[in-house]
Amino acid sequence: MKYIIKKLLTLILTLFFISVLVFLIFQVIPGDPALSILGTEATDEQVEALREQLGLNDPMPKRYFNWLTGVLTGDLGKSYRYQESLNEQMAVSRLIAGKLPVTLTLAGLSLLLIIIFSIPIGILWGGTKSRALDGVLNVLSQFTMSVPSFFLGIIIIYVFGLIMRWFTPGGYVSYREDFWGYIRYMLFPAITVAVPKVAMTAKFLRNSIITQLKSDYVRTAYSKGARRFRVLFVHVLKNAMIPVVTFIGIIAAEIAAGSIVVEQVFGLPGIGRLLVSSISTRDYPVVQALMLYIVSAVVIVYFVVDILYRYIDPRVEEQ
Amino acid sequence: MKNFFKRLSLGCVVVMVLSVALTGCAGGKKGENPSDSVSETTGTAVSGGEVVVGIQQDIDSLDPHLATAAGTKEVLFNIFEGLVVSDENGNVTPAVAKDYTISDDGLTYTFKLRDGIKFSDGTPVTAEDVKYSIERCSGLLDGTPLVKALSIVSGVEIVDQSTINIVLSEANSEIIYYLTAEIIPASSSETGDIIGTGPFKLDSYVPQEGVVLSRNEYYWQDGLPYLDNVTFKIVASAESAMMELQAGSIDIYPYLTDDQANELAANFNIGSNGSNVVQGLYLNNAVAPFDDVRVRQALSYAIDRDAINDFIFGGRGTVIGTSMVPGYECYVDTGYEHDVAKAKELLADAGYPDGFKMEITVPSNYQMHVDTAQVIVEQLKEAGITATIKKVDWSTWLDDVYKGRNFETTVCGIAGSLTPSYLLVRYQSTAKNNFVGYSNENFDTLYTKISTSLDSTEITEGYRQLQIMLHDDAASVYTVVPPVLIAMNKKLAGYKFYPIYVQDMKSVYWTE
Amino acid sequence: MKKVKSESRTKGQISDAMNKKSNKKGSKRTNAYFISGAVITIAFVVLMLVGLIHTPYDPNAMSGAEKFSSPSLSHIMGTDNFGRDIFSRVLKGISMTGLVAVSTVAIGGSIGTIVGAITGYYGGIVDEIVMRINDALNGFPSILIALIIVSIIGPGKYNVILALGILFIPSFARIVRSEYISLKERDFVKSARLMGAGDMRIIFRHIFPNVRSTLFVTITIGFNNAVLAEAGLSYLGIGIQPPDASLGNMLSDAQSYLFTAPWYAIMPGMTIVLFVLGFSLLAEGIRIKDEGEND
Repeated sequence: MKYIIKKLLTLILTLFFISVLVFLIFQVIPGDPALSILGTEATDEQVEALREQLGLNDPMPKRYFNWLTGVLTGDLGKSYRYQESLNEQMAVSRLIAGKLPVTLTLAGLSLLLIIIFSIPIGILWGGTKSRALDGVLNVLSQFTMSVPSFFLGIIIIYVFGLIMRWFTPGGYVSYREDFWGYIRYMLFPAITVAVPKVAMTAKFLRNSIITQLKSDYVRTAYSKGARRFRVLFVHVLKNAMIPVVTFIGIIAAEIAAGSIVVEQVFGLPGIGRLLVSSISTRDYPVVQALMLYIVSAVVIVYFVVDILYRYIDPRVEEQ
Repeated sequence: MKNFFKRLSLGCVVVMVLSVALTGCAGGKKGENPSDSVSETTGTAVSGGEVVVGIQQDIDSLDPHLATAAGTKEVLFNIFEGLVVSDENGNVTPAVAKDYTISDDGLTYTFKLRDGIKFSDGTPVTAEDVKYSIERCSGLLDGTPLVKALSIVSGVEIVDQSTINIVLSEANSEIIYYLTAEIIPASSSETGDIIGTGPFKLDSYVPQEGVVLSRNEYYWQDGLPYLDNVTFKIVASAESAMMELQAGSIDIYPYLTDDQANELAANFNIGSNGSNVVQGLYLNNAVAPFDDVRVRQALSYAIDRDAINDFIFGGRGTVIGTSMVPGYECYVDTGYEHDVAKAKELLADAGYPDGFKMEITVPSNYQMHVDTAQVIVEQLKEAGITATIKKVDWSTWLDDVYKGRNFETTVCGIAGSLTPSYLLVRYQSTAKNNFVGYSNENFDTLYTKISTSLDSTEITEGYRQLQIMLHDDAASVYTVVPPVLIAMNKKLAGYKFYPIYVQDMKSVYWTE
Repeated sequence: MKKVKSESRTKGQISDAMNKKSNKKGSKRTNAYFISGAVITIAFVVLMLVGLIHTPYDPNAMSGAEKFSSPSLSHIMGTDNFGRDIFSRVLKGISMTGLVAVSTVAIGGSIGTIVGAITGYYGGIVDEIVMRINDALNGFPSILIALIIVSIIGPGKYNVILALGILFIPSFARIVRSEYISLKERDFVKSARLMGAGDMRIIFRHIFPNVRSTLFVTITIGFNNAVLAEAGLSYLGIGIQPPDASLGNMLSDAQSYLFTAPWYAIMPGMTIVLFVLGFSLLAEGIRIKDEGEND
């Protein structure tokens, strides 16, 4: 319990650091959002009036405080860039809510692919006695991990989009219009995200299985006459999966945080692309909210993984 | 008085149309001469149906008076109309107004509202709506004019329910072009409704995805538009637009590169037209070494504009030598011939016999400018000038280059408008948007003189002299007016090119 | 050791754990990894040096007549949208990417090692604060931090090196720190202290040599990541500026011509893959070798 409280305090401290960091970053980036909104023909008076209206002329601590209070009460502010109607800017929360499903679908689909493929491969790999198979899988995983995601994306676009014509590259269909068309399209970016992670997860599982195979209880099981197959699936796998679960948890956080590059390659309107375009238009309320979301998501998942790990793997308590 | 304007705009029209045809012919070096019009396909117009148009940029504002990006205005053109609107020849024709008269002193414009004209939600357009819209644009509401040229409007008077007087503080021969300012309901300041009198109405807008429009049932032109729905879909890149065209998920794409146009020629109607953008290597006249006219001229000699036109625009653009778009009556065809020896000589005169180093700042969202900058870097090498490229994002560019004038050189495009003055006004030494810092007393004097003139020959002659001054002083290196290349589904017809950046969908129809 | 691991089980540590080889069999295969990795890496170092001195064509020279020629004898990797020789540009790109990777790892590695050594050795409140900052930074996807740093200081070769260098500090710091935490309790440190050695001497003279092998693997992985990161940034258009060639910006340009000129994307893409593969095989080989020796 003391451990959890201590971790919780550090979590809060970390989140505080993050909020300050996220806020400060945008005080030093050059580029005036007011000017960026008004464009080339703006007069000085217009820019000044808009700066005043956006609260950009307030002192920095005051702006930080205003922002933080907003965030804590669930008000993420209004986008500088996007309009809801002639007299109202779009709420950041609404904007993000429109983009989040895309990123989460991408994350969900990739995670599904990762689990479906990495676990059988990992078991086969860890369980095999064949050196040839081990070698082939190892080289294959090394190779897979060496392909940058944007290049993999380009290859997938070329092979499945241009040659096989299984999908229309760039022809993203909104889930609001055609749900199955949407899933069909999302499958290809999901594969791009999943491939290197499948290699990582499978390798992790394989190492975990091999460690377990060498422990005393396996020797005991063998000495009691258990077959390799039984040892593997009944005794080893349960223990070997524990670290893998946390590993997958961390991968999930990373993917949910936004696969910026993959969204860019496939032209997906997810939060990654929103983030990149909002940085370039200096739409600070959106950028700050997105960064806060992304970083908090990662930190919180790590926190949960830490706690879980301690809970399911009692050996951590030993010392 | 009114006749004069008719004449003036007619002059522009003829040249404009001619240039459209010419650019069409100039392109297509590989034998696949794309037509200058995309409405080749004949067939009976079928009412109804849906069209998806690929666009490159996100909408910068849904408020027609605040939107500045050409990429936004081309979409909003379908939703909003002004008292008058531009037609495909660059003329202004009545829209919300049924006609107008101008007083002899040129200070009062009287507009008669069109009978029974309604907004897309069915409410009638009233004189109050017009007054509100014009006052909003001219700064009479809160002191900040949203359309700068309309700041000379000193009052809007409602004469009766269908008659409005717009009173100017000074006569201006071009003000009618700016009365294309969109009419919106007076109530929109409270309701925020985005409605206009255009052929389509806004159904939905999803940031980064696009805009969906549907037919305005109350549109004043009978039988128009043909289409039920138009979707403007933001495409990720020119390449993905290609793939989407081929897969049929978009029907019209108006920003092809030359290579793409050639590739699509077999299966699509391809059209090409001159744009109204003056692309150039803009030089900061206020900083060394570009404050020396010899250096600026040397750069003009060193840069091979034809090579840029060939490399980047497949020869389909028009090479220019000053800040003007061919097509205006006043256009002067000029330019420095490519001559590296001459460039070196001028550089030596200016005290740079071994050349110098310079930086080209380019807005990264415009691939054509980035590519042009790469070609320029290579060309300048021959003259001994070492140029480096710095890509910055659009808002940094606006901040540092356009507003801050903190740059050496930049490659960008300055878009013109319905009037030629638009491309010259920024070169007055005190103009706020004179980001190149050009300064020439003679230019200032002449510009002031003609801006208040009402004599069309004097105006045209004045514009010519201004262009020649810009050329002689090598205010910047003017390169190319890029072409507009469009691909359209073969079953579609009725697409019209405009001299301004708009995608007019009301005349587009399916042929089967 | 176990305790440390559970305290901050962040992505870096997970991948450390992942990479720990537990089988010591097959020294032949070990060599195979090491040798193939070394061969690829050496080949790239050679190409990198060649690219600095000589390329078959001027990598920036344009030719309107030779736009998009497919690979042939005169242009073995074909030409791009400006008619530039892709092979020459790939060579230049390797030099450029190599330069960025070496400088990045040098910055990240040296500062990271010092920070990690000091915080790991002393512990306490400074350690706690530095590690919280580290955690906070860890939450940011690395490409995002680089994106932000570049938005602040502007694009270009040197700024990318700076951005990636800063980005790499935490991972080095974390690994070195955990080594120091476990090593500082060892007997040889205690005896050095008893003999009156100062803290700095212990940190750099006594403990550091024991960290070297871990550091070496980390550096190799660092190179690997640096190559990917540079390519990624240039792909997003904020890395190396045109017309200078970099493997990443070539790929990003090539994506627009995938239909007309697929080789334009494939050549620089495969180069990146091989480049990275060389480092990871090398790291794998060294790791297996080390563990073989340790046991």
